Amino acid sequence: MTDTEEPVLTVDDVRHAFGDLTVLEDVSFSADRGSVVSLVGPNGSGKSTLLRIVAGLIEQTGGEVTVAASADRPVGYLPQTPAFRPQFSLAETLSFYGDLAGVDVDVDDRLRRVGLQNVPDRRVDALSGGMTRLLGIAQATVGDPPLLVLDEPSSGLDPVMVEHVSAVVDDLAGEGTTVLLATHNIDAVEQMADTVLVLDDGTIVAAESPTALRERTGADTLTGALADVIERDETASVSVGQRGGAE
Amino acid sequence: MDVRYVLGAVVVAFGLCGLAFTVQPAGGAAVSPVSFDETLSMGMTGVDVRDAEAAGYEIPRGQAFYAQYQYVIGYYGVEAMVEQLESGHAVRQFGEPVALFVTEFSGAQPSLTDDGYLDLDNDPGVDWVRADHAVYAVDSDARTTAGPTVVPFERRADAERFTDEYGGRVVDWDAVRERYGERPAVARERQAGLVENRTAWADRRVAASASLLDRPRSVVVGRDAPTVQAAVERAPPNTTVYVPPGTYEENVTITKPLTLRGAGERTVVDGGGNGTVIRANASGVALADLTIRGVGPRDLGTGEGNVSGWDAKIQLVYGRGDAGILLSGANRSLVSNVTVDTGANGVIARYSDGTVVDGLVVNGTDQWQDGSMGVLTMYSRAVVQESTFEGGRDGVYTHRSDDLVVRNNEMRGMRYGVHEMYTSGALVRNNTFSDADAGVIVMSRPRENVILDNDVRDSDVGVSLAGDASYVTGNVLVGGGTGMTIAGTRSMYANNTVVDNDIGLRSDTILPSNRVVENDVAGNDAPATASSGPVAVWTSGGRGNYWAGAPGLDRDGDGVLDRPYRPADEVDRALAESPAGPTVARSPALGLLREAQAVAPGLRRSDVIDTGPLVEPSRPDVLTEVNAT
Amino acid sequence: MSDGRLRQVRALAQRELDAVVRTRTYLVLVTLFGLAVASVPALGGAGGYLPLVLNLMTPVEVLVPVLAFAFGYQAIRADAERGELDVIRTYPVRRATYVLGVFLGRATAVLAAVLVPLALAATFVPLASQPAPSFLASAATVDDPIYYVRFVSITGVYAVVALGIAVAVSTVARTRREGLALAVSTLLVVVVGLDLAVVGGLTTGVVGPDGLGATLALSPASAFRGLVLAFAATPVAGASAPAPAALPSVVGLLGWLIGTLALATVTVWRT
Repeated sequence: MTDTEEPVLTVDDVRHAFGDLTVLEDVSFSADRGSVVSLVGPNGSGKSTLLRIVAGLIEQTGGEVTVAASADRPVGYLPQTPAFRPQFSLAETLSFYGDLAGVDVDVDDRLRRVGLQNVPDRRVDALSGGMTRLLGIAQATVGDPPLLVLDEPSSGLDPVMVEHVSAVVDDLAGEGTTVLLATHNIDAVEQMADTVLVLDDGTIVAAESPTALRERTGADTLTGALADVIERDETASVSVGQRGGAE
Repeated sequence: MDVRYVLGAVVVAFGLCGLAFTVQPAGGAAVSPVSFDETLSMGMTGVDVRDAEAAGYEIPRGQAFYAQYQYVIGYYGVEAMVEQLESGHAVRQFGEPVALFVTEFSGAQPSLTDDGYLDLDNDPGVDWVRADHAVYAVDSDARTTAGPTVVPFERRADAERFTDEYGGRVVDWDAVRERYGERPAVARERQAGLVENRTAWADRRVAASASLLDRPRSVVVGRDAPTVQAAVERAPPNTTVYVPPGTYEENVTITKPLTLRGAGERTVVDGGGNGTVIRANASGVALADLTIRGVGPRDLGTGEGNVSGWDAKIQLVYGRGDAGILLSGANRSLVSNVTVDTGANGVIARYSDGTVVDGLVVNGTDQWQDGSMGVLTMYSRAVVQESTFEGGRDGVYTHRSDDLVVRNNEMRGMRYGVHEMYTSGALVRNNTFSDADAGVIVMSRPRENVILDNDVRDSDVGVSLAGDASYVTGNVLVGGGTGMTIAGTRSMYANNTVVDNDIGLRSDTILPSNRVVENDVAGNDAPATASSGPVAVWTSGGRGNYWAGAPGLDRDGDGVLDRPYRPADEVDRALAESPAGPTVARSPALGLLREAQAVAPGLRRSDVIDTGPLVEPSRPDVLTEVNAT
Repeated sequence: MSDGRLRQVRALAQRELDAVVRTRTYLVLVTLFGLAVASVPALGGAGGYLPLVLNLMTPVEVLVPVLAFAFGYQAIRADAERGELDVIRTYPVRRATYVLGVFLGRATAVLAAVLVPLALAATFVPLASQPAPSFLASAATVDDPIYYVRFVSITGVYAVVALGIAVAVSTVARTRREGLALAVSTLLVVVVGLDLAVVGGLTTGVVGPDGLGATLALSPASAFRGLVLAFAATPVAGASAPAPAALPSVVGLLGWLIGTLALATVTVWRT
């Protein structure tokens, strides 16, 4: 690769509104090749919207998203609640997506990577929620996109599987895939994220490594640090509002 | 299943289907005339055709191929073809004509006999030609036994040579269609005309023959002469021989116009089982108030005798059995108030035109196989009225007795009540029949017979009619096997009351050209059956028949149900009988099916459809009366 | 079309066909349709190919759109509602490719479901025919299997057009409930509504006898009927009136097919 210095993903001053309701404001960040960027924040903070914008599913109201990659499939995507045609087996589902991506998928390999190697012929509608999510992750990697956008990859998984997902993400990053994921699982963030991006009420209130964040806030745990960042931001917002009122 | 193969297969399949648009359907494209024997023929009567064939005269013929009918229809007489084409019935029932052919006589050098019959010098010269390519000699002296006829030619010059010699003019096909298309009177008017004509004639004959009973009494048997035969011989012509009460064991032959009159039941002439009891060989003989017994045992003749013609055998077998009374060459004779006990025939009338049989009682055999006819007419336009027939083979059997009238009789327990053979223009009216194999049966393709207002009960068949342009109307057919068989061509079956039979109406022709309308059909196990041929449409002018219980509504109040009825169909039969019938009948699915089935009847399997079933019976009072008994 | 696109279309079509084949409800539906079609000659007594066409014309006119809608009305909407459409969109798939693939897959199923019962129904004709009396000449009537074959192919086109409408409905509707409501109302419009509108146009004088032929072709059902009368029931239709002009009907049906697929492509997702 010659473009290792270039960030794979550049989000520049992205703003998004659904009608009058502004959900994202001045969001800017970038992600280097092979990095794992973890998006955290309270429910309704705009995480999923941001991920969908990055995945190209909705067009932002303002700003720019650049994915610097020349692949056929630049972005792989795991939706928040993945679902597949119930009449098909796991293997068939992955093969289908392989056809869409124009590649021959090594189904066994893909399933093995997400821990589903024992059930390639099971019908999708016979999978648990967690297993469906694993299949969704496997799907996201079909065609080896340089950027993966994963919305809640470890939600609903048991602790062992959470570990496994973290390992998968690590592997992918190690292979040079850039991963942007949203999660509520702070332990996982700490384990795998190079950068933690804290989104609150549509704006980025922190963007640094988990360690840096913890140290800056002086909290013992990342959870504490996040709480602190979000808390302060609330205050700041209020104060901004007050200032606005004074003007 | 690989979608490529499946899609490929269906696309190829539909693509191949698409090729059908490049193919011209072959049906009806090129037709050529067939042998006339292989057509379903209509037009002239069996008698006319056989007369012409026997005499070697030619009858111009036509044949028509219809788009929606698989058989070829042949017509005796170009007029008959034109008439059917123009009536609209043919198109409705069989579709558009695809090809029409006529026989043409350009190469056959036709001439006319003194009677105007077509005689050909060169029989093989007769050829089939397309009707619109031929020219026609009309209004010439040419005729068939049925009447004046059109003579087709291929070449105008030949037609003109013909008209130069025999009169008339030469016209093309369109002119022929115009000339003969409007000829048929409305069926009911035509029927009324026939009934009026025959009734008036019969009334005249009955009134005239009554005067034979007024002849002066000249001889009394026992006083003036020892035997009946002696009295007959002694009596001058045009007088009455009186036969007092008593039993006279002898056979009598009368050879002059004479009235032989007894005292009724008490005057018995007994032939002792020796041949025919009384025979009359002179015109104007009257036999009245007698009882006749001891008729000979021969129910049929031996077939031996000196008679010529294609029907010689019929004359010699049927006409030569023993009888109570034989009228032979006895025109305008009378049989009045006579009782005959017979194991053979009651009265035979041969070549005895204008004969009246009035108040005859014939007691025949219990088993019809043992006996013969109550009244047998041959070449005798007779009136048979107010008589009673019990047992025997047939009540009245007619052979070539055109225009006869059979009315107000009562017939019980025989094979056929009235049995017409080779007899056209007859009126059978107001008779009652019971326990017969058939009430009225008409055979051998005659025309214009009228079967009117008869009552047939408990018989295997009520009325069975063959022939052309005939009428079966106003009859009451109750409690038998089959009410009516619908056969023949261009005939009308109307206003009959058909109740409580196993089968109400039986469609029995592969050439459905009849009008079946305004019949009241109720309480039969099967309202109708269809035994052969395509779908017959029993509706005319938007009105069909009354089928008791036929489901459907009359939303526009025109007296006709909105839904077609199929009386021969199991489904419609069940619908008519079940209280749930109306519910099913309103099903759009069934409605769809029924509507579709009314289209292209000529191409469909045997069935009957009435597209205008009536809401009310046409004769509600008759139906009520029948249902009450 | 590039190899990649072809592969995508094939995969999408295969997925639709498999989904149909593996869903028992569809099989029940196809069986019912087959029985309905087969019952017409069985109960109605065909006797010939032309009568069979006439018998089947109206049931097919109603049942084929019902079948096509059942097969198509949630083809795309189900993917969208499940969220799988979002996943598909992250692959290099064009909207037209996706719509075409889905359409072809469903069309395969619909065409097979229509073709097989119609082919079976035709076998009733020779099975049920009565032998002609040998002493009578039997002439060729206008009846010809060609008419029935034409009918089958017109029906195929009609089915495909109805499916196109159904697929368009499935892209416009957002939810299951909306999809059902929209499908049922569109079906009603296609089967009776458009014809009623034409009749209404005649009543009010908006449509005159001159423009009737062209206006009628706007209704797929009428276009189908017109084509059947023109090509598959010619002798019967021609007996009373000249056969309806075929061109407006063909243009009408093609217009519906292209129009609905274009609509589906535009509305399936925003680029």
